[in-house]
Amino acid sequence: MLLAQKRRSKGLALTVSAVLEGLFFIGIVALGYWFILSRILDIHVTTLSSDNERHAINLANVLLSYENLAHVKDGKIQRGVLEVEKLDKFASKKGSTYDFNKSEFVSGMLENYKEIGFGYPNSFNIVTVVDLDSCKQDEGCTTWATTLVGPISVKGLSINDFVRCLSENFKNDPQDWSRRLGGCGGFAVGGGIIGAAVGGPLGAAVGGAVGCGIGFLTTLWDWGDINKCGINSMPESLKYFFASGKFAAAQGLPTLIRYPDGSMHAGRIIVSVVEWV
Amino acid sequence: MKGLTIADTIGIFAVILAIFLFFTQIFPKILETIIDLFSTTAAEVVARQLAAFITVSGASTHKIIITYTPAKEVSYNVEGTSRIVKLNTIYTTRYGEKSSSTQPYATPPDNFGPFNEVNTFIITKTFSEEGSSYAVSAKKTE
Repeated sequence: MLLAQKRRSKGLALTVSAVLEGLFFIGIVALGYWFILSRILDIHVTTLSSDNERHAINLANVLLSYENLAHVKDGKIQRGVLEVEKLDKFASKKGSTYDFNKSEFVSGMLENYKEIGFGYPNSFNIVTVVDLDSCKQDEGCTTWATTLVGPISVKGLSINDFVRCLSENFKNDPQDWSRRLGGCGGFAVGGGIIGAAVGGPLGAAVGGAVGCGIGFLTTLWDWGDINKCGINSMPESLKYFFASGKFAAAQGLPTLIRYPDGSMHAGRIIVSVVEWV
Repeated sequence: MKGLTIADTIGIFAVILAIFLFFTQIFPKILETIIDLFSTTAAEVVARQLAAFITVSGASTHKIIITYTPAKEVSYNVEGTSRIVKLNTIYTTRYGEKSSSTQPYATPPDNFGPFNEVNTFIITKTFSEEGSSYAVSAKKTE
């Protein structure tokens, strides 16, 4: 009788034992999970972003709504419609896209920089507005250009000195021209695409001229010039701007340019942000 | 003996099944939730977003209020100095990286804060006869 009872409960005892073993194993796994989360796992987030591009596009968007540039009708700002009279006041230099190869134009654009309440800190922001409907293959396109600066918080950094140094180092020797023409060729393709969208084969030729002007803008100096201006360790953002010569934001954002007679021209606003930090 | 083998087999099988389900169904979801939380609440991400929101508020031609809450579970210490956002993350979990980030923005106000242990940021642009004005504030949302 006793033997029979023992025989019946033996299976049950062993099953309970197996379940307990299983639970113990699950406990070990849970402990391991807790250990991984609390002791081993350490999450680091890395973001990859082209800050110059983002900053340039954001600032261009702000300028399209800026009351001292945009047309105001019935007290309301017409975003994206820039008035010629306001552009004349805003710009340090007005000329042609081809004027970017003239040292006096570039120096005037840089040295007459402005603080208008907009602009990234520790940087200079080159703003160019191009009237695409005024383009002629020989003369280029009407262009308004200025430089904006934001607050400076880097010790020992003087925008004034740096900008003056850059404009003094703007050279016109054959080596520099070769580099600039390279930039011209690269951007002329992009400009040609813009021009084709604007107005057929003539537009493509005109767009090429615009692109060429922009190409000049992004290849005005080389590393050696920057080093002469007191920057020995060049931040990545600055390096990218001067070394790449391929600045997507240099294609600009579309805008309308309103003349005093009420006529509208298609244009582009191009912002280039050069940051130290 | 036969009953014993079956019971053992069932027990072991149940444990293996539980572990398999945990690692294939539950653990990836937990990990995904953690990664999602961190990818949207990391100091660099939030500072970058906040700086971008402050800048693009300048593009508005009418009054605008931007409210940005990265996550209710995470708090931040933040301040703006000379148009640079400085932000520190306060995580309650151990595996959270104690990180900080600085990001520039291009519109006023040049300075704001400091705001401590906040998770909701409010950016306001208003218009008056004198022109446009900007403000950044922050609060804790439960």
